[in-house]
Amino acid sequence: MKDSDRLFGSLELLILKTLASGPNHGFGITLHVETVSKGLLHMEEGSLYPALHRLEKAGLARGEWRQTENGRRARVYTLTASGRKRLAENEASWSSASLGIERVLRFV
Amino acid sequence: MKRSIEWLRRLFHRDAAWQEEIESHVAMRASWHERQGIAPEAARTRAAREFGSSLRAMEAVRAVHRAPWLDALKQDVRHGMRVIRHSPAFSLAAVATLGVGIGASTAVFSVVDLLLFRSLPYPRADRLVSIGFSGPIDSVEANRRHAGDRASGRARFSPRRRPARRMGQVDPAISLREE
Repeated sequence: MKDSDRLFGSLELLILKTLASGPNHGFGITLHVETVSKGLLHMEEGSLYPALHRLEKAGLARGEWRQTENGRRARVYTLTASGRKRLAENEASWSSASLGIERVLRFV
Repeated sequence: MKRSIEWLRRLFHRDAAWQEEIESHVAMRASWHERQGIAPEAARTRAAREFGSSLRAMEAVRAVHRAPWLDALKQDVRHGMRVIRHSPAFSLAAVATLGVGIGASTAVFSVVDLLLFRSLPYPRADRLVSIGFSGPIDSVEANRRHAGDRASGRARFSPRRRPARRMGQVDPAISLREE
């Protein structure tokens, strides 16, 4: 099965979307998702890192060690061009899938 | 050897980097809690609890980087085991055939190796001679030119040939030649 054939998980989609607004480290991504969703979404921190490494291995994001503003070392991920492309594809398929689910749930 | 050490070192380094990434996450979460007004100690425990099992996270990260051929190998082995369990009689026959075949060849070779290929375990083995009594094998008296040959026989000394040269040569002791 090719990587792009698989329906992307919501976790990967949230990570890609967060990275689209700028490079960030793992903790920054969780914080971003929590605040933007106004606490409705909580990221499973244990599965965040495997997901980040998967994205990096697939060439969708690139990670590098950087110094944060308070002098701590953190691995910061940047979206690559193919990651940006993948994000667009998956955003579209996600909205159509959620619209479909919505319709089924609304059916009486 | 040096290459494999280098490989191991890089492997551990990689592992340590992943570990550091997770630790830095927990530290950042802890200081974030501190900024919300939680005592440092409590902030640290809370951050660790929120992260969950870092061991499990590390295992999942390692699984991402594991070589795909390893998974394929595991799958093949599992498939093989299933096939064996599915038809035990056939598998047993196959294993027995292999076992007997390998066992017999090993046994024969170990004997042949000692007798024909290696020199005998004595000092100055190259000076050993084999002594034999040789006479015509033909037992029909009339076929012989010299009947006396048989009665007297002839003792022959022939140097024990070097193992490699001996192969494929007829031992003079059992030669059919009549002189």
